[in-house]
Amino acid sequence: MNQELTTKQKNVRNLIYLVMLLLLIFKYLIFKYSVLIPSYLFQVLEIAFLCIIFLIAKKNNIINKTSSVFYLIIAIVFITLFIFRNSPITNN
Amino acid sequence: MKLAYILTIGTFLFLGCTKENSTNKKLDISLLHQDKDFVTLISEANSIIDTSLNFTSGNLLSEIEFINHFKKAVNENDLNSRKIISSSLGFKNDTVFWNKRNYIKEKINLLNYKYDLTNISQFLISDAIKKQLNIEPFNQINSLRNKSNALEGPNCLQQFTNCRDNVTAAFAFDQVQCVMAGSLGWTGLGLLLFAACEASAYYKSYVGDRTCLINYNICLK
Repeated sequence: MNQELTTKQKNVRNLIYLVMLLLLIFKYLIFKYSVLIPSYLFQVLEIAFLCIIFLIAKKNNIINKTSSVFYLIIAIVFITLFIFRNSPITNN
Repeated sequence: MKLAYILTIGTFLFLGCTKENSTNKKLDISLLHQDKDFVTLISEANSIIDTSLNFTSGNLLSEIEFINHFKKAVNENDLNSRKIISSSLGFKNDTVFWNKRNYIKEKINLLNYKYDLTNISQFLISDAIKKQLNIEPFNQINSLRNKSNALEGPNCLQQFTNCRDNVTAAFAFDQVQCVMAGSLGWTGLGLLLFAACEASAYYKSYVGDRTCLINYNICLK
């Protein structure tokens, strides 16, 4: 299942994990300790940042297709369940 | 092992920097009425006031009795005093009242941390409360009263629907990072990061949904 990675690839992957963890913490702290109106600018910056990370990962051949598809399916299931969540107010 | 070391040091460094910055720089008080913590605080306080106003009892406590029981309940955690205080305010279940009270206390601490409320005048705080509760000047109230009440319901509902759609969009947006974390291979760290990302996304959407509901209730009042 796991493709063999060189030491350099492993280092890049670990670095990407670290960057993504920091991004996650940063996003959470912004959510928790700021006036909560997330700006579009921040979202654009975030998506640009993720695109750069993806390109770096792609360039270093770190992306694993099977795991990508697996997590993508899980995410789609979560989003679908979330869209159809119960509303406390019914529109009659 | 090396990665775990880097992750730990990186996280602590990051959190350390954030904490230091946040203690030095407080947020602008004019934004207080938009703060989600402030919105939930007002809502919780309102719910306690509503319960007390709707409650009619012959056994009302005097001011001194109330203060004494309150001190006992808070300082000594006296169960009897806790029950007396909560029942005097109209709460059948004392845990509900004390949970609300703890929640409000936490929110005040958090807001004080963000805005330094101790050094802000009472007028600015009451102004923020008025803004949050949509208390308009007298002439505006009269003009608003002329509006048909039937129009207010659907408008609030529309706002609520839009708000929930925004929460859904934000949740879907957060999934991008979660999938990215998982797509780097079958690793424990990837799975952990994916789970953390999902948990964060769910928590944010839970808070978002609650805020939508609170705003809807405020809109209807």
